[in-house]
Amino acid sequence: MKNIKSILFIPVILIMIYSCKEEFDYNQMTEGLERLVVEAYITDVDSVHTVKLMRSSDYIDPQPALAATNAVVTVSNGTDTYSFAEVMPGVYRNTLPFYGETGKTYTISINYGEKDYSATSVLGECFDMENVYAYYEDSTNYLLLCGQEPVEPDQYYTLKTIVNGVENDTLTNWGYFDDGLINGHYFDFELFAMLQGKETDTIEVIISSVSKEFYTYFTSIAQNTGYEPDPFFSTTPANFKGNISNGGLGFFQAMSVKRKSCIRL
Amino acid sequence: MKRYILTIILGLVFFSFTNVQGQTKYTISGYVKDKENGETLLGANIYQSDTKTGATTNIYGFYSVTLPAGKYNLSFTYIGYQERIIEVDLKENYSLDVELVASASIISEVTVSDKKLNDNITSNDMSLFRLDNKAISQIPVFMGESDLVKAVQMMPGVSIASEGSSSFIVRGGSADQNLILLDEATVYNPSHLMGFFSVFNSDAIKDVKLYKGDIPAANGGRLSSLLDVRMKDGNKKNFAGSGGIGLISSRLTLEGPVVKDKASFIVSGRRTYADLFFPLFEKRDSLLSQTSLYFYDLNAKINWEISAKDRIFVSSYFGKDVFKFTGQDINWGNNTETFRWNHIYNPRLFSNLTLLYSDYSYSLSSTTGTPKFVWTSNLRDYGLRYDFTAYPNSKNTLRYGITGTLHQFKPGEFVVTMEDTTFIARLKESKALEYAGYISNDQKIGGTLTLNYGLRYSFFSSIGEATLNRYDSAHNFIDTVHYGKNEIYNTYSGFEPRFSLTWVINEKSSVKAAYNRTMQYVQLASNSSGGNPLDIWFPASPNVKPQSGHQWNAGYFRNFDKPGLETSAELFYKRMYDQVDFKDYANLLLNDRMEGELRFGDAQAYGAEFLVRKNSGNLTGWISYTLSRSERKIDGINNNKTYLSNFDRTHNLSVVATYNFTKRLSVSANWVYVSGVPVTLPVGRYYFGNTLIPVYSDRNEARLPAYHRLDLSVTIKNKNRKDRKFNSEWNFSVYNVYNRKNPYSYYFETDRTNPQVIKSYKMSLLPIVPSITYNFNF
Repeated sequence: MKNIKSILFIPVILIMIYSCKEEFDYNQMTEGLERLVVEAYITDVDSVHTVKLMRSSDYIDPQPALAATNAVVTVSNGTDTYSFAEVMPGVYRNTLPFYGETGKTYTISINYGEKDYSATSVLGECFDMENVYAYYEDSTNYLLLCGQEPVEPDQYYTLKTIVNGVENDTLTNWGYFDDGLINGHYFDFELFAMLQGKETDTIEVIISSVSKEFYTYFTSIAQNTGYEPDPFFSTTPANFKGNISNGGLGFFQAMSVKRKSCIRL
Repeated sequence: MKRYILTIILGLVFFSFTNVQGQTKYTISGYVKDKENGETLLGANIYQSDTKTGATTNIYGFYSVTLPAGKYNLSFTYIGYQERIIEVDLKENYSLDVELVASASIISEVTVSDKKLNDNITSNDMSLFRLDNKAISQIPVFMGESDLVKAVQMMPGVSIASEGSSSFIVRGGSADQNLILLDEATVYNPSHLMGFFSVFNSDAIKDVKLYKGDIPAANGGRLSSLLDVRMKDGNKKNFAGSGGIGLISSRLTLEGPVVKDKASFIVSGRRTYADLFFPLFEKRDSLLSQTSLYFYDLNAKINWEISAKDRIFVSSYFGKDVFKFTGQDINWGNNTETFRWNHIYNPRLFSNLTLLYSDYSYSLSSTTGTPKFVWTSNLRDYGLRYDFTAYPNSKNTLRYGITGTLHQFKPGEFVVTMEDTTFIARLKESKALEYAGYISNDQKIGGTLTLNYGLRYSFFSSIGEATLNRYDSAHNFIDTVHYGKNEIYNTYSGFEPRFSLTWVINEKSSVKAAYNRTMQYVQLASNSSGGNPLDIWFPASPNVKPQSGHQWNAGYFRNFDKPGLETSAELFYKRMYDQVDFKDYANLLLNDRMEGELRFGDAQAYGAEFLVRKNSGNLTGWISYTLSRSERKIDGINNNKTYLSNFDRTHNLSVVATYNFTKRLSVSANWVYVSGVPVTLPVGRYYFGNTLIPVYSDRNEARLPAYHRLDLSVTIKNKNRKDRKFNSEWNFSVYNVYNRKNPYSYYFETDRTNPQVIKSYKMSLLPIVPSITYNFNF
């Protein structure tokens, strides 16, 4: 598929021969818009969950994420409601420990800047990998998966890695797949990731089952922000659709998580 | 409602034929031609002033006038030709072919009669713009190639789709809503070289008409317009040739009689060679020097007058674009073939049978490296149409006919070769039959009112063998169904009434109005505003309803004798249903479930167009201004709110002028000003998963800066001597004279050293481009 994309650049190159690129001052077109951004996960493997609240800023303003402080955050599973406290600016953690439970619907409620925001998410089941193997070649670690994908259709997964104890939490580095073409498939030493690294790296893999909405949100971002857009045939951009109400941005996702250490081949 | 319309139309037709009884009448019929080369003249006027009876030649140059027995003076006129008056003593049906002499020069010798000048007032066509070969060739050229699409883009109500593009936007409709016909065959992609040139070689073109608001009932299948391009028939008198040598391309046309006055041919070819210069600009072995980039095309036509009643035309177009770049190869092209048989059943009944073939294909391949792959896609049409024009009496011209086209869609086949294994992926192919019947009547009522009312009924049937994807109401894929060979599994149909009215207030002014309903069954999957050669055409199906539209127009036409100006003001309102757009971040590339990426809704466009045109004298040209708005409301896009369509251009002004200083020297200029393209721009940023994510405005809430450009050209002809057979001229053109950097797009890049810094860029395409061309004819 990458090859096809590259050939699409041929017409672009052709146009480049004639074209002219000129830097300009875009500032005047930016609105002073500030919206609440939510990045929050409830999992079934941890008892402490993190809710990150941030503010959006001007597009062109070279600022890192701005913390949204002094918000009131609660998460409810229908019967119990857990409150979250701000442990760092914009980072909120539950005050009482709890584990996410498969099949339950979680609702996050946020009061920030005199506005109320909410989102709900169902914690779905995730299949367990039997084993993950790794082999090394040309400064790349190849990861191979063994395991049975369940027969229920419409499953969506994200994949993260922890290399030498450091979690790769940058969205564009995550992997993802859905069972559209491989529903009920048995993975038998199948290649599913390649990582730049060393032979001595210890690698852990985290697989999470997520909702279709989160999967769409996440893959749209991964596919449309990772590289520079081609300036000629690019499509009309649009906002990535999260699940936060009342004009909030970002996503609240409850998910089942399985973790496996890679076995060196 | 439908039945009601049908009853009215049939009633009018019946009425118009029953009220003409009385004295014996005879018919004069025949062809109007150019004396020099025997080319038939389309739209020439025949007028009898005592009885105030007139007629116009049809698209094959045929006319028929019915008058009571008696002696008459018939006047034959055509723009750019000397008027000819012929006396006839009408005692029986009479066949009369008339040859007109072209005005010796475009300098003031041209005597334009009032009737000629007022053709735009009296003719029952509105929202029609017409250009002949001569007018097109006077417009300043880009890279030495005169181009009819560039001329079309400057007509009122029409704007350029994007810089350099051969696509055009008519009255706020998308580029794929224009039906482009070359000798009646559909041209699916009018672009060469990414659109910098159109596929039409103006040396081979006789006449171009753009119908924007009053599409004849004989044609359908697109919502916005009909661009009807007719190729020359070929010189029937003498062997002749013409050509040009330019900086990046050359062309040559040869034409002549096969049998004098009976049969003739024309062959016209072009080839660009811009790529030959690439190595000059870059070091040897650089990327550019390994690049090849060219197009060629060939037009050929023969026609043969078998008898006074029968003529045959065979015309052919073949063109290809080739782009090779370090082992990767992209090429695309159109091929159209038309066979036509004109038969005159009797002086009052003209018929034309057409067989059509049209093919548009592209391929991409990578011949080096691993894996190697070839990707091909094509769309093929086989068509037949049988059209009749009946002239029952001097007040009515009745047109009716049938048309049918078999479409074959092969959206994509992808063959990947990796060492020993070959992998083939094929997108679902489909076939469909589009067929229609139509009847329309042009009726003159008294001396001042002309009506045209017509009805077209069209069908679109999807035919197996096919595998159809099914989707739920949320566009999610459910399953597939298979249909057997030649099984008709889905049919859409619809009435397309057409109506127009011309009320001549006096010799110099008239009021016109028209209503059109149109249907469109095939469309282009393109979600970039400029279009791209890899876009595919796809048909209506159980998942995609046909597009339909209503359009209402009204206009006032006024001519001024001095200094010989035609002016008009027109208003239009268009309502379009089942418009197709694409979901956010749709994948249209090699996607077998592309129909699931589509979103549907309605659109409207409205506006006003003003035109001042001068066709005679030393100064010729036109000024057109359009004020318009085009909006869409699509379920699932922009939170279901109405947004400006990509085809909205608030202001659109074109000035086209040619001034003949002497018989040998002329200067042409054109200037266009078009409001910027609506775009969606980032207004904010946020971070999610440590990734910077833009926040966008509502769809198309912002605009790029306005597009404007001035082009100039100077043409110097050689001395005109009577004995000279070989004539030549030099043309010096400058495209984008004041080097305006018209933004094609805005785009944003993350700074490599600091990912929080975003840099904004304007991309612009064509800077000032001078060119020089040597043209000749013999």
